[in-house]
Amino acid sequence: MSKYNITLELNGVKRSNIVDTEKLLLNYIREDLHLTGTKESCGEGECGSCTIIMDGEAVNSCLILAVEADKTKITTIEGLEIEGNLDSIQQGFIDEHGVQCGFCIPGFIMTARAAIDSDPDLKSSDIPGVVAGNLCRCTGYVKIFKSIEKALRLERKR
Amino acid sequence: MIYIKPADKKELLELVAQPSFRKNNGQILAGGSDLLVKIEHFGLKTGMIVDVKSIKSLRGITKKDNLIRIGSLTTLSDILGSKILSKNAPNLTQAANNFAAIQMRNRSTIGGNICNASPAGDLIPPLYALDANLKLESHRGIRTVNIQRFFKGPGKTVLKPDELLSEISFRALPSSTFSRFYKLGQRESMAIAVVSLALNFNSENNRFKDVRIALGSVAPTVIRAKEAEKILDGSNILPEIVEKAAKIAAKECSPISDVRGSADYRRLMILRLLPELLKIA
Repeated sequence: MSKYNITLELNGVKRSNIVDTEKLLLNYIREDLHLTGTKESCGEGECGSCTIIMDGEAVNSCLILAVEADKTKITTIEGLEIEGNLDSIQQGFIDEHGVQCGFCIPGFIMTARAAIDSDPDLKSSDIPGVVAGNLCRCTGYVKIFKSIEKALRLERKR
Repeated sequence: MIYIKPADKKELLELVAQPSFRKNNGQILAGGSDLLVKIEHFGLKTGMIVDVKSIKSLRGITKKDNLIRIGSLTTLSDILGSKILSKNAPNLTQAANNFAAIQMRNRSTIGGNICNASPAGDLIPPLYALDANLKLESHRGIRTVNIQRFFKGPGKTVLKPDELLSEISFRALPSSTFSRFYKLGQRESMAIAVVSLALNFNSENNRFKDVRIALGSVAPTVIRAKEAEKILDGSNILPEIVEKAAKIAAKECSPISDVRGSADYRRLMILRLLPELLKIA
């Protein structure tokens, strides 16, 4: 009973795998699916580097067992680009030079993506509160906020 | 490690009553924000995880005849988004707003925050101030315990091994009630409280009425500052009365010194913060 069969939709692709019940969702994504854009930094829910979108909500994948993801729909940073077109938040980080070492950026982007998707009225002034659970040890917060603001402008133009 | 996901409450209560649950040091998994940290970082060994998240009947917020009921699996995001709570229990909403960040609020549950029994648990002071009742269920039956009699110490509660917290209930506050929460942390987000305060009180003819003061992170459990409440109840709303009550509240605390702050600092913060939260305006 220490193995469990999970079926989920990850980045639009149906996956069915047998996982160890002790395996974290983060490690299932990185080690079993080889999607290494999702990062581990603190491993205890403080830093947000492992943020993914699960059933429409931003969550820390380091504090979820892989078995808990059974029958869910997940998006990771790899799922944002569609046929060569970057997500507007990814484009925002390029345009505004929002990336320093880059390790925390997938987490910031996924948190912001979930927030923009769930709140069509999200304002620039909401951004610091939205990403309060994401740490950047390069401390480049101003440019990170500007990058997400740029994405808000890009999406509202459409 | 055995992973089980009971389909409903009945199946869950039968499962936790089985000897194999205790033999395996079985653990209830709700939001996982405390449990998985204990397993991954603090060496908690368990042979059985019981994932309760799919039990829909334990999640939700309702109001009927002035009584508000919150299912134990209700998430912090549910609480923060609830109009019932922002209207009828404002300091609970404020505490949820101060709770960690979005990623954690989407998973963490009110039941987990209570049963983890941290003296710094963010939702506990407002629930003390609301005089909440906790519904504890097992296959043997149901009992109701007031939240002030639920905690025995840090991480310790009166829950029996086969018992689960299923519901939190309290009376809606009148809209005229001042309902406030303040958490002093080392920074704005993700911080564990150095001290926290939750208050409900009314003012009538320039006198304090129905004062409830709960203090977090200043004793082995959250406490009610009952002596301070007594001073305030029925007294004129005057700075000297408030100052006297704050001094008594600071004496009612029994804080420890730890990495977040010294015992003296915590007492001083209660002394300084309580008058701020008792302001009428």
